[in-house]
Order: sequence, then structure tokens, then C-alpha cells
Amino acid sequence: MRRWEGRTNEPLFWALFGGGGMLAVVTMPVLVVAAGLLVPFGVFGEPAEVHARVAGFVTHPLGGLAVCVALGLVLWHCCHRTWHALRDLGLHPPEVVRAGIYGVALLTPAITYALCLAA
Amino acid sequence: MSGEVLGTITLRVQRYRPDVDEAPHLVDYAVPWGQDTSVLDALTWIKDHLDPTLAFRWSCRMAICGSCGFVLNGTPRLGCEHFVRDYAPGPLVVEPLANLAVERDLVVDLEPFLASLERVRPWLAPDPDDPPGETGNRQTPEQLLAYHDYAMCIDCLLCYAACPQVALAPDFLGPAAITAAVRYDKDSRDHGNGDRLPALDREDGLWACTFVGACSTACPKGVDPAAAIQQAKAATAAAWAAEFLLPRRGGRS
Repeated sequence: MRRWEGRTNEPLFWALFGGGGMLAVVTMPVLVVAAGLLVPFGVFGEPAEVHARVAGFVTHPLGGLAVCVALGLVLWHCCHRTWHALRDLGLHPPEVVRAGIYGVALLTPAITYALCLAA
Repeated sequence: MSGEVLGTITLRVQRYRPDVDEAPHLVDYAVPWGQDTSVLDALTWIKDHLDPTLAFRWSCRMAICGSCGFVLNGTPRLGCEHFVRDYAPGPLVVEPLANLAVERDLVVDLEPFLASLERVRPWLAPDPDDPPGETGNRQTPEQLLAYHDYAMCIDCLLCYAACPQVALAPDFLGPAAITAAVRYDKDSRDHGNGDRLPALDREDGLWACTFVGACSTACPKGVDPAAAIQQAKAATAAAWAAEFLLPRRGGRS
């Protein structure tokens, strides 16, 4: 992969960051309106029934995987921005901090999914 | 001073003569101004009437050459394009472009930028398998539009003075150089994308940019370098992915 000096894995890291940001921008307003207003006011039917249907989706192994990947991307976005914000503030944290920050982004959805499967 | 004098403004100009001065310092000059006195005119008036040793770059006086970039009251601007009347009664602080080494007074060292510009190979690379030949390189208006705005850059370096990442990472390629790369990458006549990639896809290439957008705010020609860099990031990520999936692709290194 590395064909020239100074090349980094930033293309991959940035692409995940961009994907997470785009996903958040596109889905968050819809989710807020749907989960915060439309479902409670019964637009999609009895809220308890809607809850049961959604619960059926997210507790299915594939549904849970989709949710974990989606939220994992958004978390990756936050972590990537946090790492760059540290550098913007003039801090030069050691590599272990970088590994920790991106580790949170990787491990949180992975562990969450494992717990979902175990539950 | 042509035309009616409407007032006098204090220009607080940063002076630095390396052979005389210990450090850069501000010097006040009282300059008469009229309706049509640009900041560049005011500096020229100082040089003609008060201190002939004041050094600054200028040429066209009409925002084409990109020579007279200064920091005016903290904002990077072209001296020819802004009028003293908008800063009256003053004082108007005139400093050299930030984030660049000062050679003398308001003159900054352009060599690092020119080296960055050269690294991105800002020229048309013809298709080696299909050279232009007798008919030359033809292009439709739509193909021209793909890069037209990015070709408006005049290399005035206001974006370098505005960019906080240039301040943090002095080796960062910077907004204008990356925009020059994108301008040629997007040109239908060009086939040099692969050769520009090593300059862009590196830590001090385009990845030092965190999309602050100060470059696009500062740009006097509406170039929008921030958008160019974002497009370059997306293209670079796509090239990276293509190379990862098809390692034999794009073998030129």
C-alpha cells in the first residue's frame, strides 16, 4: 500500500469520518422527528405496538448489526474530530492517545454488538 | 493624492529591516486620504512622501497580480482592493501576511509556497498514449466549468495568512497549492492525477486540513479552496480504496 514516503492511513480514517458525519446529518433529524414527535403522538399507530415492531428489528442479529455499524460510524466521526481537535489546540499527544481515541470508536460498537448477541 | 482630500488617517505599519531592527515593530504614519485612496495608494504615499525605505510588493493595482496582500486590522486582504475610507478615522494596522517569514517590512518570503506549488505539478500532463497532435487539446464549455473557478487563483497567499492549519503545520501544502492540484486534476486535457497523488496523499499534504474554511473566506477571487480540498480528499480516499481493492491498479509510482 505504502508507495511513497509520508503516506498515512488517513484516506481510510477520513472516509469513515466523512461517512459518519454524512450519516448523522441525513438520519438524525429524521430520527428526532420520528422518535420524538411522530411515534409518541401516534402517527404510526399505537406507540406500544410501534415500539414492539422496532424492538423486533433491532434485536434481530442483522438489525442489531446495522444499528451498531451506523452508530459506530457516527462515533468514529466524533473520535476522529476529537483527535484533530487536540492537535488544533496545539497539543501533541503521544500515539497511545491516538490509539485510545480510535480504539473507543472501534471497540464500543463491537462490544455493544457482542452484548446484544449475548442478551 | 488625486481628488479631494477628505481626511487624514493613521497607518500603523509593521516595519522590519533585518540589517537595522532587532525585531518587527509598528510605526505610525499620518496619511491624507480621498474617496478613491486604496490602502496600497496610502502605502505608496508614505514611500513617496515620508519614508522611501518602506518595502512592500505591488504591481497591477487591480486585484489581478496578487502581489499586495497584507493583514489589514487583523484580516488578510489585498491592499489595492480595499479603501482607506472604510478604515477612517483609523488607526489602520498594516502587517505582513501571517504564517509566512518576513524578509523586510511588508515583504514576505514566497519561496516555501513556490516549492509547495511545484510539488503538486501545476501544469497539463498530456495523455502519453494519445498526445494532443495537430488539432490541439479541445474542451467543451462544460469541461471548462469543471475547473474554471479554481483557475481564478492569483497566488496572493491571503489563504495562507488566514489558515490556522498553516500556522500549526508549517510544512502543510496549503490551500492555494492544493487548489492548483485540483484545478489540473479536474481538467479534461490533463492526465497527471496519479503523479500529483504522492504530493497530496501524505500527512503534510492535504490531510493537515481540517476544513476550517478560513481560506475561502479570505479569498479575494471567490476560488473556494476549502471546497477544492474537500473534493481532493474524497478523490484521494477513492484512489486509496481502489488501490486497496485492486492493488495492481495505478502502478505508476
